[in-house]
Amino acid sequence: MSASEGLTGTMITLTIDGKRITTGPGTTILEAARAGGIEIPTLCHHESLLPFGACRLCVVEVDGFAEPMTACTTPAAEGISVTTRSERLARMRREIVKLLLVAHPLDCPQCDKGGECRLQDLVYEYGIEKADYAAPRKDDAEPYATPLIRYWQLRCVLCGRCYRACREVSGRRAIDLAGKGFAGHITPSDRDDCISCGECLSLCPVGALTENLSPLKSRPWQTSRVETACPHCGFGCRLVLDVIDGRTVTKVLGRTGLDPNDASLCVRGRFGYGFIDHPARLRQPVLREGSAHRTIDFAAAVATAADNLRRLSAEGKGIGFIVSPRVTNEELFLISEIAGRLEKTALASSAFSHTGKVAAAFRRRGIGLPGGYDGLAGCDLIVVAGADLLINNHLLANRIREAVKKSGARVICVDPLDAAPARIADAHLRVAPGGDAALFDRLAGSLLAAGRAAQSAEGLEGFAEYRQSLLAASASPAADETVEKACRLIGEASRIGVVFGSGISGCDASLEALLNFCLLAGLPERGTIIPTALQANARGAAAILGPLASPEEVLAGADTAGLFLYEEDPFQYLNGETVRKALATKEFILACDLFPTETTAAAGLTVPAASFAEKEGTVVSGDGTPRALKRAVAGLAGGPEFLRQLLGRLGGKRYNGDELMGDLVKRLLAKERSGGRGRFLAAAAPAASPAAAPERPYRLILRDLFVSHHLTGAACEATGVGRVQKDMLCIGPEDAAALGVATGDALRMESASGAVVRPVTVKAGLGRGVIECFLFRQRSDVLALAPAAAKVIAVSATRA
Amino acid sequence: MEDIVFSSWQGEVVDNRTAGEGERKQPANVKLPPEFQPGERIRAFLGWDGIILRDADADIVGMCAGYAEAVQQESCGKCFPCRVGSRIVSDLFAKIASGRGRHEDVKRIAELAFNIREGSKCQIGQTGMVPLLDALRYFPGAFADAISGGRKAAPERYRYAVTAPCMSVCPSSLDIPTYVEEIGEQRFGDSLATIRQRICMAGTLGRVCVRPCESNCRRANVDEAIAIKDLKRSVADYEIDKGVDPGIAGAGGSGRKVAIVGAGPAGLSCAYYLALKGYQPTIFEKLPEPGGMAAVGIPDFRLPRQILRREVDLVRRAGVEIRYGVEVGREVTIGELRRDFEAVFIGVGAQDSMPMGVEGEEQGYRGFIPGVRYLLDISQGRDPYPEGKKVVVVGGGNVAIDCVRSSFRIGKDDVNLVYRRTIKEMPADPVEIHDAEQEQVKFHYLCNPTRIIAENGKVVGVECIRMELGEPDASGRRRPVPVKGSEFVIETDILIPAIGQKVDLSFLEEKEGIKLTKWNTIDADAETFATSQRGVFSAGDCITGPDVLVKATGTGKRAAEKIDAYLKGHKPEATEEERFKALFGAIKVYNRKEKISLVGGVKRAHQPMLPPEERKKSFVEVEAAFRLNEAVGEAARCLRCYRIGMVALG
Repeated sequence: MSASEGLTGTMITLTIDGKRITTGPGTTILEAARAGGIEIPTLCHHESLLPFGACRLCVVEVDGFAEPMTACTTPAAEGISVTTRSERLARMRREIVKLLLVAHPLDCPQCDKGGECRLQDLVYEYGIEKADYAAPRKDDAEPYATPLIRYWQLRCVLCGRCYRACREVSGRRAIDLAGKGFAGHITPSDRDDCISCGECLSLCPVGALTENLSPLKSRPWQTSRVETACPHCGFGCRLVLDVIDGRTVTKVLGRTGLDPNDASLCVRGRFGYGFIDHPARLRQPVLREGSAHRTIDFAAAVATAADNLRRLSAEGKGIGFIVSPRVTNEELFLISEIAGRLEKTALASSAFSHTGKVAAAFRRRGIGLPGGYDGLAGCDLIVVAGADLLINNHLLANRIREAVKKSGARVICVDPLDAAPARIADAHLRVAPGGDAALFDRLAGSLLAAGRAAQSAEGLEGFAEYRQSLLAASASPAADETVEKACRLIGEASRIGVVFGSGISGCDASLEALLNFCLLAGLPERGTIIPTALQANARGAAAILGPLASPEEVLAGADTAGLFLYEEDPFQYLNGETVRKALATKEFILACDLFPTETTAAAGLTVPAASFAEKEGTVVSGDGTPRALKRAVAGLAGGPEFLRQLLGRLGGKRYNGDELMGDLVKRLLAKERSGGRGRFLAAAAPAASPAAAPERPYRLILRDLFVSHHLTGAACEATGVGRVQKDMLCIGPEDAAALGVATGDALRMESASGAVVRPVTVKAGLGRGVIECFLFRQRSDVLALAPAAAKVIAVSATRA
Repeated sequence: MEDIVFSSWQGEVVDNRTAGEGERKQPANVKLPPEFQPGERIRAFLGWDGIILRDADADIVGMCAGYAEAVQQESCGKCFPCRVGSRIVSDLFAKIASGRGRHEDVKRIAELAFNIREGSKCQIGQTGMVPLLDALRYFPGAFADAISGGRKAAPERYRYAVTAPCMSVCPSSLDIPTYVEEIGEQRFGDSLATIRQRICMAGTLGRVCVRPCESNCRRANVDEAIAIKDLKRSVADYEIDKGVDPGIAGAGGSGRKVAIVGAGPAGLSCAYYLALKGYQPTIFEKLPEPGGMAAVGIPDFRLPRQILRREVDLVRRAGVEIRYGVEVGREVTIGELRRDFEAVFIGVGAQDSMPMGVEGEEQGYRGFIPGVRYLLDISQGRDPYPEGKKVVVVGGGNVAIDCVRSSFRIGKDDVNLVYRRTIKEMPADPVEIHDAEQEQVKFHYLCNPTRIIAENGKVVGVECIRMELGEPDASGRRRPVPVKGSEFVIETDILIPAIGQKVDLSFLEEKEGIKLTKWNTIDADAETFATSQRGVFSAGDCITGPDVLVKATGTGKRAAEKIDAYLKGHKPEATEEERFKALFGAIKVYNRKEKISLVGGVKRAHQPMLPPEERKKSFVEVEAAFRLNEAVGEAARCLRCYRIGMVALG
């Protein structure tokens, strides 16, 4: 329950163990007790889940009632007097724990959970020495829904947290309770639905679910735990690294109460850590001269880098920087300072394609980028457009589900494909790529027609023209009943949350039309706008390096003789041939990275970078909040130190200490967040749909699983992510029939610039004319289909 | 039948074991039917409220072992005491029954059973231990004997079934606790699948069911009954709202053909479940529209037509063919259907209005329109008498209420209802009455029409007489008696009798050989739905007279099962489930007086409604479905009152 709810309703006062406690309506006895500092034992209860009342440990007595009742499911009522500790309750609780031991092996010495197991604690607390009865239990459960987790049937106490978390938190139905009575156990109910998010694992109170990944097991008392930020997507999850000997990360944990993700994580955050100490990591600077290369020491690397950069600058030649949007603000800041010491520089990042464009659009509009995710909770309608939250910003999907679960919010999903929120969407608008602009104008028109346009919008610059264009656009009746329904939902909504992703930013017309719609609806005041952030520090990169140039521009720049690639490998997201040719024209390439890549192989000087677990600093999450990285394992001096020394060597300030850096970064970020009232902009003419070419009637939509080449390169197999995320090509049943292909057959796709043959999977629910491509490790052939970075590629398709 | 030897039902112990002839008392709070099925005697009953023993030599130890195992089998596996505890209790009883028991086992059972009863989440565990604890308390000798090896057990057969107060009174036997629990766990799809195991019209019944379940809801003993009907609607609507594929497809199979007469709830239900069994049913419907009384008798503002059409579409997708505009008796005869199909099901309903028996009724005056025809016209988009502005409807049932409420919606501004008793006796749904009051229908209670007043062949008024309530009649309601000389006139343009319906069987020719009852309904066997003509079955209003929708769907499905048995060459007979339903009905599952130890005060959720002034002008649906969080919250109030009843037969 939120604080505001508590304040608006009538407050309730009850007595628990003689203590008067005042609480809001809708609170349970358990919540009231905990708020009042009174501990009631629980096992099946979890704050993220609906009350369940199965373990019966939270039984309490209420004066005037003969039988005890469970505190987790009983509402706090005015005037009641509750007892949480009594002889009767102790007996009941002891009996329950004894019953659990009847069916639980005492294999604590070899259980991962030993030392932090809820059952162990309870057995100890109630002083149970042995179970006085044995009932044989079957151990015949099927292998778990994901290979990353192991299910120990006999250890399972059937608290139900795992399968409830799967449904309630993650919105999946991968696992379920099977069997009745004593034969009950957890079983995979739909393996294909499992996204390996590990929410089940995280909520298991005993050792029934264990990570099936890290070969190095550790016990809680052997490890230190370091709270840090997730290095993968830009949502900004905070997580806890379990570190043994200060050297090796043995697992990743969520922690209840950490903003913005609480204890939840996605598959990358929870299982994508194996790259940290992978043997393939770059350890030494390497200098390449011709085809020969040799390792050099750190100081020599700094000197070589500084000399070359200074020389090029002095010669009046351009130097391009391509900087990863996953590195810290401090690193970004140092890079911007380094660039400032040189003459002709251009700063680019792979964040350009989404966050860079979004930031520029917001700037043009004179509105500030949003802050915080909490605004979603108060929205009664959430529109998710072109954002596949299964692939990126997974926790944002959880937030949306939470709003639906807690306040019945409606959801509109705008996506040609089954994106994450489609399952709970009241209207799924399968708009063809490039068709978003017309759709948002139609939705905006319905706002106007319903008289629900925000008052504030009328005073904004460009309103009259915008209004006029909408009236023209909405003269024709709605195309289909789903659009009609979406219009109705929008007309009824009082607060609208808009979440959008690269499906929108990939097309200028779509982005402009969406922002116009937002302003008309009175956003962000009457709701919230949340652009996804694809990489951990995309917001920071756009702010500190911005306005960003595109990596293609920098690579192609004819007068760019020097390149500094900082944890970027353009081969991972651009047409390889183009990159290869561009790199060949450069006089000096400096690459700083964690792993050897095709880029580092082309670099004159390669310097090892530091992983997120090896450095201190901050990143700015998608919600605009700075989040701290903490050094968890001893590692290389790596990138930050190299940048510090390089800046000094170039005559810049010798920064030392994070505090000062933090201040500088904050000042830069303040610039980004300040915004005005906004203005309407006439939408650009919508780009012609790539399907327009009749000889290439299919639209290949790239669903990029790519977050960081750390997860796709050499170390991939070492992370759990590599085991469960797969490259995949999907086609709808109608197109499959038309092309005569079945699942497993090879499909040949040809674009204007290349051809690819890949096995195809026929997927129900996919419409006609689209091919869905999950792009993970096998990237280069698909990227070669487009001359420049693209989200949608027009192709022809035939059975190979 | 005063043959009960022992009863501990609801804690009231009647013990005749040592009573002499003539000293025997009988339990006042429960009646145990003598037979489970013809020729099979009920020796004892173990259930949620205790033990009822008919035969003194019934094997109490064996029964306890059987019952305890039933509890374990039915334990959902969620709460710890029931899941694990009942396993141990069952094991220990089995041990004693097999002669390997020890005296400490009895003590252990008593402790465990006490803890399970006190600590379980739902009524399976809470009530499941009641007869077992009673057995230990009142029959200690039987256990001592069994342990010392002296058990003498007569051969007995145990059968058990699960019920709940709500489901025990549901004519369609919906598994209400499960579908409500699934909503509480946000499993909307699963919930709808559970509902569809019993009815194919979740969205329809979720709107218009008369919900006997809710008046047998144990939650009412704590605060208010669960909104069971609205929850059903919420999952039906969820499927539509979220665009979920219902996943209904024809079963494929024998393809044997069955003719169904009437696309009303009984016919649709019968056809749907036959199709799921692999048959190929064809429905013959007189109207151009499916749904029968559900379509033409229930106005759109309560049941939008597209909801019903969609549900009929699901029936079609299951493999049912529907031929519209085919009137059996005219285009095709029952005899021809019998020739072309392997079985015939008649579900024509009761759609003729009952006459009021007042002067002028047969004159064919303009403005005199029977209720069902009035609603039928409106449902087809016609105003039956556009010149008429003032309306008087006679009757107190749902059809009467639908007539008055529809009248506003076709532009009538002065709408009256005449009913001979008071609001307390009105058979219409109290919620509907309340909504009609809000819409400002003028209710005239305690008066009855005596004469229609007409001028130039048009109705201009109705003469009524005041009534007062006398002694209760057969229905238990107080009989209305006219007050002499109290006649008065209500001026009106339209007079609508809606005092009940009757069955129109004019399509049946004598040579078809289908016997009728003295009430002019089809004479079909109450258990097998077979008519006097081989291969012809019938269910729904046409065998019972006008009854509720949920009964038509229930009997339609059950008739499908009998037709299935018939076509497989078996003798159609009542299933064990149906026998238990009758048994539980006699024992009564819901106890209005039960005190439940639970802090209540959690109000029942209500669906949002359009304000009266807005809604009475259109046929737009009055109520909106719960939002997801509201449905989940409402479902969480359910107490999951499953309980187990077991008979010892022999």
